[in-house]
Amino acid sequence: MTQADRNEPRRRNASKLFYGTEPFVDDLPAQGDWHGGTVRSRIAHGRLIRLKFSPEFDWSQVVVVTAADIPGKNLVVCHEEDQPSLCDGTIRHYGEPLALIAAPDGELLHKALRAVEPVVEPLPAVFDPFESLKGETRIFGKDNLFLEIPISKGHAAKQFASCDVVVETNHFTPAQEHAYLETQGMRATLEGNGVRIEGSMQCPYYLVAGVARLLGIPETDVRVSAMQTGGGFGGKEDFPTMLAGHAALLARKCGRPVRMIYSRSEDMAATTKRHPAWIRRKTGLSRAGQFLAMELDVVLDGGAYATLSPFVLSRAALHAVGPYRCDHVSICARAVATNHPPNGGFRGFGCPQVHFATETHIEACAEKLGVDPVELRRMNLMKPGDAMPFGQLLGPGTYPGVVLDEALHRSRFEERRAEIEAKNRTSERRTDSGDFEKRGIGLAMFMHGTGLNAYWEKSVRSRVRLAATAEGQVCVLTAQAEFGQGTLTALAKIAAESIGLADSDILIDHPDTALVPDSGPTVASRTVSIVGSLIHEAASRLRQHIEERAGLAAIYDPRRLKAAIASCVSGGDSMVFEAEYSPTDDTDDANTWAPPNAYPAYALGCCVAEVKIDTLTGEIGVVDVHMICDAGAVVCHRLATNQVFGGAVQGIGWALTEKLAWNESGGMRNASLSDYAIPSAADVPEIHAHFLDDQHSERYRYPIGLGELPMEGPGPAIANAVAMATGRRPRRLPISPEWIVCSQGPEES
Amino acid sequence: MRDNVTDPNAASRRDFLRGSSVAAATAVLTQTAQVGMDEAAAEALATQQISAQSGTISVTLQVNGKALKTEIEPRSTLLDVLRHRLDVTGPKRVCDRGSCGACTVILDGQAVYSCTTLAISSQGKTIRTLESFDTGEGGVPHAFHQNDGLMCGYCTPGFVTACQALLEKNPNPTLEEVKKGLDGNICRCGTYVGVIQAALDAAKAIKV
Repeated sequence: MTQADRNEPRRRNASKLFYGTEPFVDDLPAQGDWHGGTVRSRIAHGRLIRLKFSPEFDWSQVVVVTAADIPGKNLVVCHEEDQPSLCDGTIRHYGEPLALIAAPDGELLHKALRAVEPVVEPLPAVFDPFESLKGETRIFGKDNLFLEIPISKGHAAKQFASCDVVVETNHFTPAQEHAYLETQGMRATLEGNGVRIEGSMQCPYYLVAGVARLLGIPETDVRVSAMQTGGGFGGKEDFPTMLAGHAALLARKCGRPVRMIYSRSEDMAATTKRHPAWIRRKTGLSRAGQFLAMELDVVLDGGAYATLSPFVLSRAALHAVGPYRCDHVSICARAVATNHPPNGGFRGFGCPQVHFATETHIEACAEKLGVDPVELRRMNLMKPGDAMPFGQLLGPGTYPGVVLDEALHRSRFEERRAEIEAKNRTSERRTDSGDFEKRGIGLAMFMHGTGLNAYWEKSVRSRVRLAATAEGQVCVLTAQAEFGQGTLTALAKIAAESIGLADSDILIDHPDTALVPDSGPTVASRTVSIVGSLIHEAASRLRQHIEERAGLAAIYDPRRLKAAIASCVSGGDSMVFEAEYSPTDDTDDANTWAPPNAYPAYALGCCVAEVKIDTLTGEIGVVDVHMICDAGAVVCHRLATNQVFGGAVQGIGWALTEKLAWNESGGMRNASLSDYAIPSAADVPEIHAHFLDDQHSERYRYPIGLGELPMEGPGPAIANAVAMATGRRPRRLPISPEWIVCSQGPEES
Repeated sequence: MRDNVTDPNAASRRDFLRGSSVAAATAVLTQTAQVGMDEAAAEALATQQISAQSGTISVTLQVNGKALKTEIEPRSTLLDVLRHRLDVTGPKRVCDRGSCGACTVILDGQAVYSCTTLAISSQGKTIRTLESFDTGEGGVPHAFHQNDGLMCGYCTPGFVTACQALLEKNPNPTLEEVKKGLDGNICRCGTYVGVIQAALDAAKAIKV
């Protein structure tokens, strides 16, 4: 830890969390709330004929809401208008909400939920996206295709003929459960003509739009307050819109506050997952190792409703080639409907999937050519000014090669690889437990464009506001939620530094839509990069105002500045300053999913992982991880380091232990934290986080998103390390002990 | 139910999951929980002469130094009663089946999962939650604060409590003992590095 780290402001609400006094939604006092629950489908596809209410239960004690009670549009507001809030007659996935019940207490609610029996007529279900594309079972539109994104550069098909070597591989990456420790939870209260929502969420304004549409009331009658949120990772991006709608419907019907808190098993079975991905990669190379032509097919299982699938697909397609140069590329990316519960956003948002394919494929290419995979990467990495397949040029100061070199240096990759090779060759060493151990070291590059893609970032029109108080302090008003990243701390620090006030003179709290402007969703690693830059802009307006009023000297001393702000407020100035996002260049309005200037900047990373494998039991342990991140300026080193640790741990889980099992109805079978194993303290190796931060380069003057980046490296790095240890290349995740011990042949089919 | 905090040599959560198939693990967990409930419930019901069929009983729990009385169903877990009847919301409900540690409380000096402990079997015992811990510079919460031992904060009460129990039993834990002692708790944000350092620092601070 450097001196700078020690001087950084502490996490804003940390003490309250350590002493248990910061409330999460289910910690709110009872206040006469009724408890809401959901009647769900137990089949994957079919017609809902009716709901059978047991005559043995006294239904006068509770309220029931069905689709018929919805005053507005029966819709979960997202991009496509395909997902009903409550079943509209057709059931399209296991766990689909059919009806809602609210009861005065939890025990009675459970009795009521058990006393409802859906009468259904099952239809054939399809769980495999390739089967689904045949269109025999109709789920979405005419062809079950949520979206197809073709990206083409040069003439890939023709170019393959002139390549010396062509390598083709297939890859699969699995669904992943967010497992945020706080389950989805929401409270709705009737307020005036409208409704007030409090709860666990990432995007307060999504809920405003969703609840207003569902209830058929103006958005001004919906007030949403995000509370401290116990983890999100993308899982509380779109789903809370549905839950807030449900709580609001129940509150309206019973005329009381209603809180809906999912149980763990309900949360795991009914909410979104990371998209499973099938990726075919074909690369033509010259004898020397230059990438000459590439063909990529990406298929995502979107589940039964579109939700965020088009957005995830867009990011996957735009990052499919990774940080590599190739003049002839053909990409076909498709998001397909199946009868699984909808998949949605999850940290990385399509990038972990494509980077896994790219970084394990490159190793196969190197093997075929007989060259060092590190050298093959170096030869093909982009430099500033190189064009990506969709036309964007890599920006100034963006050097993937520097990130690679830093990773090799810090991890002593080449030395360590040589040592391991020698040891693996000469002996099968006995471990303490008497079993045999082999080691491997692997590396992976990754990249992440910051913010929503240019088209969508423009359409959000994010606004932030700074408002001064009579004491000369400044309130930072944004819609950004706090769910562990340190949003409040980082945005306050940006404001303090941009304005020139002490950190303690910045006021910021969880967003409440009655008070804050819509600065967009808390997603896409956009909080410190996009919203932070707007705060900076608004701050410069505030400084300009003070300079005009009190002179230049006032703005260079925090105490004088504070006094000057206070005197402006008492003098009657409107001390409110806003900034609105405007794109720096003209974006192509017609190209929603692959705009030519897709992202304002790209964060880069390289992960080196060392694994040990017990060749008798197949147990895989990660012993050492180096994470090199180049994400522009780092706002708070402590928070950023924690993000890198956390992303790496989630990546390790995705690579090794987190395996989803499906039941015959396409629902999650292992929907508990004892059956779905996320990493514990004992699984976590030494993780070394390092940030590139060259103060002399323009690139490091502003932050580029970091939140998602670190999740994207460990999967492929671990797979490459396992390949070194075992001599067999994992083509799918998670890599199981069974695969280590049982599989035959050099590659998994 | 959960004693790996107090015995560094005992099997940790992860050892347990590794050592048995997942299905078997679940069966064992469920069985253990039920056996615990049956004995405790039988005893309480025998002494209070109450029908096991339905209804509520009156219990008094010693929570953070206060005797708190409430009416509960005999099957209620300690976690439910703390959170919903006594408004002690520090312990969190996360997995609800004894595998994540977010609901950890200290019962007669032992760290236990309150989600798989019956409230009626906790009568007459000392129950401590993080609301009662030392908030000064020598306390465990302060060490967590100094080491950024949290991100979203939902696992935090459980980690702080498990750490407190660990240090009360073993004031000089090694790194391995800390890892093992806290292995009954999980954090999805992955803040283990800070948590482990916090435990080591807290051990030092307590001695000062």
